[in-house]
Amino acid sequence: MRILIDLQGAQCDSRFRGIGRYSLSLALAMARNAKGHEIWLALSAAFPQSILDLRHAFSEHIPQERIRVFSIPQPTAEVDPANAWRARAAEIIREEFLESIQPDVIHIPSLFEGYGDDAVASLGVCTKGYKTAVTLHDLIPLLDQESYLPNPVIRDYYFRKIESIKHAGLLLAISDSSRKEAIHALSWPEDKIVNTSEGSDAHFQVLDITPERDKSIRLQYGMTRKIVLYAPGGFDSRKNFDGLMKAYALLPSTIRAEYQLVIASRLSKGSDDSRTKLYQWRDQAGLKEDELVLTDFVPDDDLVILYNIADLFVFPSKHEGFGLPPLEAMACGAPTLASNTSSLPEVIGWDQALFDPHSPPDMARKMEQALIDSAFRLSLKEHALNQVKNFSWDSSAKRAIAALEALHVKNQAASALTKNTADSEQMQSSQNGIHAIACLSRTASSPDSDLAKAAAAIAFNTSTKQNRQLLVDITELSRHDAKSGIQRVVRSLLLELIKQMPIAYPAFSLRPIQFDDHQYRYANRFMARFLKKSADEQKNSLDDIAEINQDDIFFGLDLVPPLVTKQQALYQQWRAYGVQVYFVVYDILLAHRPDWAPEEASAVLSAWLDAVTQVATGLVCISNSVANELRIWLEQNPRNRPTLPTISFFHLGADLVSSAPTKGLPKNALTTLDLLKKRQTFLSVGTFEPRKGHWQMLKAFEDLWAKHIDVNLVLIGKQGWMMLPYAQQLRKHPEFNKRLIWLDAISDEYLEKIYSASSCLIAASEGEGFGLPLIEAASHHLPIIARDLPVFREVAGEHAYYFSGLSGEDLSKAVITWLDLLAHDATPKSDHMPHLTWAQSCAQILPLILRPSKEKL
Amino acid sequence: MMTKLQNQKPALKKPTFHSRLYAAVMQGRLTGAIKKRIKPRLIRIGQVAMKSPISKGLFTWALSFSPRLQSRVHRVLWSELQLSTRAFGIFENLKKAVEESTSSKQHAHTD
Repeated sequence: MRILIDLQGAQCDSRFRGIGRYSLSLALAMARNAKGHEIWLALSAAFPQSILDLRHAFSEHIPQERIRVFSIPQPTAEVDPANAWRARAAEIIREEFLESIQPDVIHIPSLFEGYGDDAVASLGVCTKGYKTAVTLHDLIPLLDQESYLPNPVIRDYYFRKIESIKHAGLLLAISDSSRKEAIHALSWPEDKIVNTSEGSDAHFQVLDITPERDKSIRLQYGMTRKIVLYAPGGFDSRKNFDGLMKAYALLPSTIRAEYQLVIASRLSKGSDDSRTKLYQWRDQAGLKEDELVLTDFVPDDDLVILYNIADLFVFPSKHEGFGLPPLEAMACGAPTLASNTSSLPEVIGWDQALFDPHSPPDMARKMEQALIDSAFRLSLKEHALNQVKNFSWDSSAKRAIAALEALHVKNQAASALTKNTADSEQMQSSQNGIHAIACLSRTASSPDSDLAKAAAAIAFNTSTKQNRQLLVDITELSRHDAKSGIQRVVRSLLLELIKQMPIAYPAFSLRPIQFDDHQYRYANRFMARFLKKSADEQKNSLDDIAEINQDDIFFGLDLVPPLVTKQQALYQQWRAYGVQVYFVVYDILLAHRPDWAPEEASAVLSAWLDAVTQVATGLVCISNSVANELRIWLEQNPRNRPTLPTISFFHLGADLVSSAPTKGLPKNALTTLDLLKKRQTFLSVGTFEPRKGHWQMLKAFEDLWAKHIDVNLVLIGKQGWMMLPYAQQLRKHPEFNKRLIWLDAISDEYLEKIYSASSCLIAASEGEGFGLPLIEAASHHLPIIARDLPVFREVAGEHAYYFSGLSGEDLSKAVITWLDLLAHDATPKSDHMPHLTWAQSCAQILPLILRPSKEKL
Repeated sequence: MMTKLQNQKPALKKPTFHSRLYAAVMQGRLTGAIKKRIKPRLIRIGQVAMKSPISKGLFTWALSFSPRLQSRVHRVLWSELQLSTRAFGIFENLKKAVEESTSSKQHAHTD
């Protein structure tokens, strides 16, 4: 059986209240106790931050792909009548979305949402509700309309919900009391409502509080004496604050001098300022200022401690659906007293622990007894710990699942009788949804902007696994091909992805994207150029806005640090929706050696590294060495990451032919190539940068030339940052253009010829992510002298000659030794150095990013 | 990686559809007699569109002469509505359904 739970109750404003706690705890327990049933969750995109939290909470129990996110046209909060059209359209869109998951049963843990925020919950608007079970928390507003439904807007809202409930196939009551309320007030059939009760979370338990912690929490919340605690989940009149204060004022002054009344709850602000009201009631009751403490919002961890250190917990509410706070207090061993009304006797389970909430003297008598009579207090404590054993979320979940099973069986039997499948009775095509939305416009205006919002939501909700996309970010390449090493990687892998994806992963469509005009767009125009499509096709290609669907995979192949840093929130939002976000990590050199680049560049890359480690599902490094460095960096820089990205690696390819190589030879190419062939030529390939060892190479060859060793040094690469003095020194060097040759910005075609004309590659860099020149050299059978770095060992293994040391002499000695070895034909040969083609490189990456989602958040 | 960073250039400000359309008209890149008939209209529409991106009726009339331009106009519209291609398709269906629904209601009243 597929059970779909609409978990907005744990996302919206209610998440801070008992309803939010109920929704989350019950859903978690249902996931734990699913026993072969499939539990799916529906979450609203209107609350993106909560989605990540919930994905995290369920990561051990539900595969991520069963957590589905739906979008609605916002804002919809019903408190503002201007939102009416969007709210009604959102109901249709949500119901259709739920139906598209093809659930056997749907559970709505909290239907009465969306008055003050953008939660949307309905049933029976455009689909039939017989397969839907709704949790009924209480009918307090219906029973006390004067207090709770004071104006027509809220009244309409509430009665629409009540009408909606009537479409449900089943109600789950949270107590026997609320079950009876539904049977009487709604004339609800007894066989269609089940009491599933509630439980308290495991972290509400008896703790051994150290004197230091006790002292610090009292200090934190301004408590200076022993405490009588009240922790309600709201501030409406039934919570009976005034009654409690009147009762407290009736206690003997000796007791009040020994205790403080502590109210631990989030205080409302603005026109409904609860602090002011509470102080008024305090003054009216005749309590002194220091006799009442208001803590405002208390996080759960602190609340557990407050329950543990409370000398007495009182719960004077006049009407509850269940009454979770007294149960939680009892679970922490707090002596607990509560009202003798509605559901509270069920929760408390002992008449001696009850009082009449309408009678302050009765409340005062009971409190005085509990505070003075230590035997009674001990009995309350013992009873509390026994009573909580009767409640657990697991038991509630089992009861709920059993009730849902029965509903499903009943529905199946009914459909067999009527010879109609459940699905055929549903109006579920998007066409019907569109028609239903269009009909709304007869009664309320719908400007184009609202229709556009509705259309965007429908498009998002109706994306399916059949049109999953691999979104490859090529922003930088599409803007400007700087012909750097990384852009060669991007070009090469892009070409291979185009070839391999349709065969290896036909379920995905490959969509290169670029960030432009404040959003990601499909890079259609660039791709038409890149693939050398006809002039007409190139002209007609337009870069449409990229449609991001929840099963897509984003792959940050290109390196665009400022963009990634700036768009962190966007990637987080995608993650929340279920998009898997991957980035390639080419190196993290500047994290270790910020001195290798100007300060601003180090800062930019450092921010990028922070960003990708915060937002990525996974990071794909270009070598095992980079992956290891990254793991160490993550350990050393824990930050506040909600989850750690997976770290994997692949190796780059090296066949130039597959990398869309650039063409063209300069006029003097032949002369230069002849010059190279005249003597042993040592080649260095790479942009001039402080880390690349250029200074050391120059000093080494000056040393060699001084020793009359006749060799060429050929430097290929552009002048990078912090290397102006080096370039100046090269140009005025006596060997410049004789035995010292610098070729700036040459084509791939020319580079091929230089490799062929050279004798040996020197890889003197002090830090690299991979070392592509080593592989390119090997593919030309060119021997290699490399610095002894882990990444070079990983790439070249035994196929290179290694040197250490940072002085010119260290390198010149290595070259001399290598030349000796050459004379005896004993230099390591690179001929058999293993290396990948770009096709193989691409084949390594694809399983790393397209593997079935086993993401642990 | 660092090398790449050195080579990055700021993104060029891309011409909008309107500016390209305007330029196409002004540079006479529209063909034949159609050009003469729709040129002034297109210029006007271009201006209207910039102020009110979804005043589609005017576009439809003028651009019916050139399906390719019409398609471009549609694309710029959904771009301005921040809609993807698919969402724009749904938007058009919705709009059509709303128009039909409204008109059938009016007929019902008339009857």
